[in-house]
Amino acid sequence: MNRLYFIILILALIFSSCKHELETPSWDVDLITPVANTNVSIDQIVIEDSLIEIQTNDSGLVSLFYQSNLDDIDFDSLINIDMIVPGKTERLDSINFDNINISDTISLGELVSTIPLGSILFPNGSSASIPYLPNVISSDTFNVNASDYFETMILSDGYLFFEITNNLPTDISNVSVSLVNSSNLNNIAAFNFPLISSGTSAKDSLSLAGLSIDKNIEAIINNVDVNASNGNITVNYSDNLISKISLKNLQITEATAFFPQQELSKEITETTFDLGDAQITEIGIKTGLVKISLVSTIPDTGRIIYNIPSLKKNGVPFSTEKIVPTTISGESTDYIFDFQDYVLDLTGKDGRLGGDTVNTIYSELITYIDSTGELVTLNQQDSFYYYTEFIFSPEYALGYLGTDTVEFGPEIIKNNIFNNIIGGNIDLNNTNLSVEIDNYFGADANLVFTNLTAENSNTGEISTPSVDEDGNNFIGHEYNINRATLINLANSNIQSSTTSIRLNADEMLSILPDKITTSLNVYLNPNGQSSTPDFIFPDYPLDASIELEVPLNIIANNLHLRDTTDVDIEQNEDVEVEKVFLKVENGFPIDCNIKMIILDKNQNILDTLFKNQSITSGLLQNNLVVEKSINILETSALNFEEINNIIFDVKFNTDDVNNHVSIYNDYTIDFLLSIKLKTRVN
Amino acid sequence: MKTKILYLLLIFSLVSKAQNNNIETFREFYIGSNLSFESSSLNGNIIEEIFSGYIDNNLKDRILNLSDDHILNLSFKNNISYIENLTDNIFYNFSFSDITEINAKFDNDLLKLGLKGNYEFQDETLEFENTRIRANRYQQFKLQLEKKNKNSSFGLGLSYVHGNHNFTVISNNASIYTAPMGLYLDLEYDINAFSTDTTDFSLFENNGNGIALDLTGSFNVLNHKLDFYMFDLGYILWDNNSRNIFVDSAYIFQGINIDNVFDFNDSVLEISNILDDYDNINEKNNSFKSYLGANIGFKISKEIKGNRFGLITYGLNNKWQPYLDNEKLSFNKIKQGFEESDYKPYYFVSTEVIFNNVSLLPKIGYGGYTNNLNIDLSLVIRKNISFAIGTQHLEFLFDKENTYGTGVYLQIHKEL
Repeated sequence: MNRLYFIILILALIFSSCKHELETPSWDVDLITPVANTNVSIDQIVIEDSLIEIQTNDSGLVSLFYQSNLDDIDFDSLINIDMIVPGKTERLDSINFDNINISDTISLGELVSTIPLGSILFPNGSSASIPYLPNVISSDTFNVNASDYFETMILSDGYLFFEITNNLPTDISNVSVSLVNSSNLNNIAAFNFPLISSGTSAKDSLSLAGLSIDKNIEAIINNVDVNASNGNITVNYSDNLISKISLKNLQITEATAFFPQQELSKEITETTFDLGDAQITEIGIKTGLVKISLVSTIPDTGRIIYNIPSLKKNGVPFSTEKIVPTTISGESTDYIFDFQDYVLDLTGKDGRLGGDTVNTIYSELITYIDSTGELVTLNQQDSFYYYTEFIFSPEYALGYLGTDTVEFGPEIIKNNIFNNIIGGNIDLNNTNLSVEIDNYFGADANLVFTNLTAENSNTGEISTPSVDEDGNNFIGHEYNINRATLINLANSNIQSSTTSIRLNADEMLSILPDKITTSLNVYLNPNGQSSTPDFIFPDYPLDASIELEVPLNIIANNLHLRDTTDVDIEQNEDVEVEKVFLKVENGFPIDCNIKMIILDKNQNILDTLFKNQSITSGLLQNNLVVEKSINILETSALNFEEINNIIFDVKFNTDDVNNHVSIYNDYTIDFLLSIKLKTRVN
Repeated sequence: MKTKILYLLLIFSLVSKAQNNNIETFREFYIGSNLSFESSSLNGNIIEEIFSGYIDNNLKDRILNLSDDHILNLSFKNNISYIENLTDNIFYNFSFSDITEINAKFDNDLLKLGLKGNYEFQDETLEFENTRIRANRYQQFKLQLEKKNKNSSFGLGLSYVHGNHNFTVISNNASIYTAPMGLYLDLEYDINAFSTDTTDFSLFENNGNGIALDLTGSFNVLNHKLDFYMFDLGYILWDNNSRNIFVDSAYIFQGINIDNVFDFNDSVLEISNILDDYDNINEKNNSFKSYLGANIGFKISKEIKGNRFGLITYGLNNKWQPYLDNEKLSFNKIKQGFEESDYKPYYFVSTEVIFNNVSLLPKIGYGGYTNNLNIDLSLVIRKNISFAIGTQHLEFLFDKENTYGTGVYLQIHKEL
């Protein structure tokens, strides 16, 4: 048994000796690997935040091309229309009232019946000799009922006509008639006719000005004598005596009446817009409206018809009809008409006396009152008041634009092309600065530069061009800008005129400017009105731009560029970059010394990479690169976590400081980045 | 998984019920665990240092000086088994095993690259031939029947294999040339890689199913017992969503080509862009087959006179496990399986030293995944519940420099 325990003890010792704290093995691995490669040609380069383009001519020579548009030069204010036409009032005194005609008839039979034994003495159809019969009609009254027309009227003007027609077989004489208001028995009129022969009429009239008349008028025939007949006559009871009362040309001071539908006013207006000395004959309206504001105190429905015969869309003149309600608290009723895409003829009314005019709109406003069929009380103070406002933004205008001057600028164009150059020299050759003008106005113009300066803000140097390529003094010279040609009005097809003003910019660029200041004046129609009509499309102004062309024929002498880039690279904790190799195959004819200065977040320098290492230019023969140079740059370990900024500090040199080298578009530079890194495997 | 276990237990139950109640019942229950790590090149000291933490350059150099090629095998197996007799001479054995195996063979150059990286080997070509790596995890449900006669026995076993995960890489030829300063990498490679679905690494995730066959036999001849066996000859067929990657190409890598350096950002350098840049990768999702490591061998046992010793046994074990299912069963296929198992014939002799209820079972072997003698020793304590604990490499304890493996196993046994 002891032996058993001994064996167990031995085995226990043996196995316990196996026990070992096992740990996950880990080790460091040093790797080196290419990371990225790229091939860069000059036309891939885009200078951030700048307007520089890379352009190539037929020989492959690369140019830097910079263009900056000046603000549009426009003359919109010449032709914008915003005008309120003074208001006009149409009062009720101009209201017409229809003539009123009322008649009464007394037959011979009725007259005979008034004679004692008359029907026996003068039976119908008998033949008798009529004796003189005095006072046959005496105080005979009949009602003239005008309630179908009015209730009461106080008249400022008008006439009452009374007419008696004698259809009796004998003459009548000493006819006396009175008209009185039945309500108050006030006399309106009295008429006397000494003799009215058989078969004739007698007529008289009375002015109603200042009179008040009711709907019921009593006509009182005070006396009628029948004269003796000339021998026997045939007694016909249907023969008669007709009395007729007519109210005509009534003008009311106040009336309670059934007013008829009628035209209140018809106003034909030529409104001339103030467009300075521009003489516009036609405007195509891009956006536009006409607002008519009306105030009606008439307690009946008002109505307008508004016509602008010279405002057409697709050949159809504008016309509209609107109801005008009675105003509440004096507020106007506004009607706004949208005239987008209309064409406005500004030559006035067709067949206008004196011929066509300019800047003038012709319109018609007709006001009405509508009959409601109800009794309405109107007085002279009731009225329509209206005014009109025109607001037009034209799509185009034709005519003569007048003479005008636009002062433009100073406009400052900033560029960052040379911002990063902090030293050294660059000699450029055959650079050009040009001012390119595309004129879309159908008018001649003159352009005069009052200022064009290039400035280097860092050094304070200023350069001003003196002469253009034609030898003219650039500042103050009048450059003629030809008018554009209108090809098709319907689709705004304009053939602009192009004017190019070119300068040699070598001197300007030698100061490495970061801003260019421009001021100029544009004179419209400097020679007055042309035989060719002017036109203007506000959407197509006078475009002007400054273009800078820099052919890459350069001499670089320690041209020193410096730029700072923010860096935000997350360091992989498992990977430590120990070395960076950059293989550069340079196909450009420029030597380059590059340094990358590494800064921490406090802008302290952590390290300088690629210090004192250079990239040599490609091998040149006859000013052409025939072979790329191979350069390998090496740098030490980086801790990306600490890097906040990298300053790229680069100096460029061309081999020959006396001869320019040219950069062609088939030149490339190849980069291959490889890194040595350490990582821990576990 | 649960359903499959249920079915198997049902079969087991039916078999169990079918036995004749008149015979003397024999029942045994085993539970065991086996952990083993072996190498053809890494000795005990190296292994111990590797697993003591950081591998420094000195250790790297020592590892790299060990051999021109390396074979590694890690095996971890846990099993439960139940044995019962159906008749006096027919026994069945039902077992469940959970197995994780990692097996690799690679050149020293690959180890150089893995341990040191390529920086030290600029302007050099590192060549990797016959690199093979496979990792396999599965569960095995085995039912064995054995008929025992007086002088012979014959057994047959059949397993259902529940596959969890597999990762296999086979590269017959590959090389990497690192240009000075890493300006380019010249890669040549012929790689077949297979991987089961990597979206779920659950231990018992079912990504494939397989079968395996056991055949055993023994004869008593001239007071010797001769055993022949073949265990776990089978395969797992992995699901259709497994990744099959085939690459056979040469490629010069100069970093990611950036079309426009002025539009450069960090995402350009992502690994996916490198793969996009290299378009010769043939990848598809498809089923693939991996073989189990089959143990094939024989052993001869003979009783030793006296009570102190049990049987003395000597024998030979081999493994058959091809990588690719690339040809039909043939002599070539048989040869391929033995070669690609990277397991050399394992010769062994063992005996049992008995101390009442305690036994020591020493075993000396040569071969397998190592090139050296191995001393296997286990202690068995026989009680109501018997225990066995042992190690496959006892020499690890006293001569690590010449030991190329380590391991431990434990078994609990009870007769019911």
